[in-house]
Amino acid sequence: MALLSIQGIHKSYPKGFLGLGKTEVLRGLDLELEAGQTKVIAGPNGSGKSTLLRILAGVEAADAGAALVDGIALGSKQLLGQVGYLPDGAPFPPELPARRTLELMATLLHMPRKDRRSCAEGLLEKVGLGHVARRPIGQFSKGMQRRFALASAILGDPKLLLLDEPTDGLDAEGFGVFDELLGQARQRGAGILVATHVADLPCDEVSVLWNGKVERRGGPETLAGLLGIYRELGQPA
Amino acid sequence: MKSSLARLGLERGLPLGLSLALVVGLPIWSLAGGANVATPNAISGIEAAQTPGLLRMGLWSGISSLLLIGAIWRGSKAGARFAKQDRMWLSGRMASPAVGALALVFGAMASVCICLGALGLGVELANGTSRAEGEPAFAKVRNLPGQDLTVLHTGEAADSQAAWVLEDPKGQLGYDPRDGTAPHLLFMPTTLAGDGPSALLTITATRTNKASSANTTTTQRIRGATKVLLPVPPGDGDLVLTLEHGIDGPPIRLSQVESWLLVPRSSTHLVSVALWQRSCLWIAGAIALSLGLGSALGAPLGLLLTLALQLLGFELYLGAVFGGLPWVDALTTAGMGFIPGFAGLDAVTGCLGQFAVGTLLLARGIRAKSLPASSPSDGAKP
Repeated sequence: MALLSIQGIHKSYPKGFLGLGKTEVLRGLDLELEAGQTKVIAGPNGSGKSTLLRILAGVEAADAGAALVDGIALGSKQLLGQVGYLPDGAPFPPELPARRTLELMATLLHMPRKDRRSCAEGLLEKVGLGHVARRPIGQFSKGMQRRFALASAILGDPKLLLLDEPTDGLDAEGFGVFDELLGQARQRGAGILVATHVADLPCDEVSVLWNGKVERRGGPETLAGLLGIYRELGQPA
Repeated sequence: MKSSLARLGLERGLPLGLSLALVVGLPIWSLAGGANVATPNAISGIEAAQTPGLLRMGLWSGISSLLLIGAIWRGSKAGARFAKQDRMWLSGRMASPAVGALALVFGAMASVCICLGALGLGVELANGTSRAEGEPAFAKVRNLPGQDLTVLHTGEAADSQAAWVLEDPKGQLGYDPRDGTAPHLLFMPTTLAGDGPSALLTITATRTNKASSANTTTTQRIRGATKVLLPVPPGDGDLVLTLEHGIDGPPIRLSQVESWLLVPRSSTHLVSVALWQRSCLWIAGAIALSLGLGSALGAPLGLLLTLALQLLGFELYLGAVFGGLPWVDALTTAGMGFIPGFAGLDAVTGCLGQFAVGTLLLARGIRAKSLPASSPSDGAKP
């Protein structure tokens, strides 16, 4: 059984006067991800990559469809803490220090009190933010915020990692950290779904999202040829 | 409850700098002569309490009105942020959004209470000792029972048997002279001629029990609205009040809402305690509602709607529910130099109602969205 099984996800947004019209972003999207596998969802801007991840993370509702993790419907309380999500942008409380924010997240995951601080400090060390653990997140640079987001996503060792443009703003060292942490996650059997529009990520499979559906699947080499695929599918990237 | 989330709600709701500024700034302002609480020597006792009372009323009404608007704005902004941004990292980690929302709203309400506590502390430090040594402080217990309005014409006495019998089920009228200060009755009669000619009014309070026939009497010239104080006679049991118009002068009007029972208290600082309680109920209720409305409608609409509801509360006589009217009532009492009573059940219920609505709306805003159960697979149904 696949770790993640997505079936027929539909999502549309209202548009036009009073929102009477609608724009379909996802049109019956199907996808599977095995444990220990990294799959990249590629596609041009506005193709629905982030929308898909937000739906899987429970941030947005889908119009129709289903998604199962180990046979359990996403959104079920049994999966609490089993899905790590690295959102696009910087949605973390800017006024809170990094360590305290991770401790707060650990509290929500019912981590024992005695483990919270060491876990938060350990994660910040791993992503190279140990020296700024007490600094408010709002004072971080974009790259530091991505590192912090990565630390928050892997908190609690989730089974499924949903990463939205994870390398956006990362420097060379950040890339190294990112590769290392994702390698560790794969080794413990986590499945990783990455949404990106850049061709710089190691992965097992690439799915190209086009017109709200997966139009092409292929190996990592597909990433390098994305521009050609987009042109082939009928639109410049 | 998640204390870490409550702390986040508290930090988002609390203007820490302003709170500290109130505690430190108000006494400094007072020392610099801004408060100007000097009381003329000729006035003493209960009358002398009015000058610091006006200062308390001014500070509390001005600053807590600003705090209300600020709290609603902070609440709406925080609500919108919780629903739009924080949900990204909150929703997938919360077993129960209702518990999370409860903690966040509770924290924000606590922040209001802390800030108002700072205001109360600042006001009392600014006021210093507002009475001479040993002079009593009086708290308003309630309006006197009786007919709604009494109008006395020249040479006329009120029908005391029918209207102005004060029963004493709670023992608040009982008074032993050895205990110290007597409870007082406060009347604010008005001559119907306005500030024109004056009229004499005599008020007598008499014990009705057989063991004692003690009474107290006061006669005062009334011109316009005039404050009349009458000590309660010593003893136990019910009281009969007799009002008598003098032999000349315009008619005198006295309504029930302008007739109070005052009881002695240990300190005038209790004014700020009572105002703090009423302000907390009002403003904490408002911030709870604004958090919910902000999360559902966004910050600007949340602010406008919460503010509109608080203002409509006065117009629609729902002020007791939204907390505004009891607050104004307490400020009036404080302005007259008396300690207001604590807010009643209606204000508490109103605050809890806003708390419940705010929490439900915020829980809806931060909950994780489930996928619709339209999958071909049964297992997909959450």
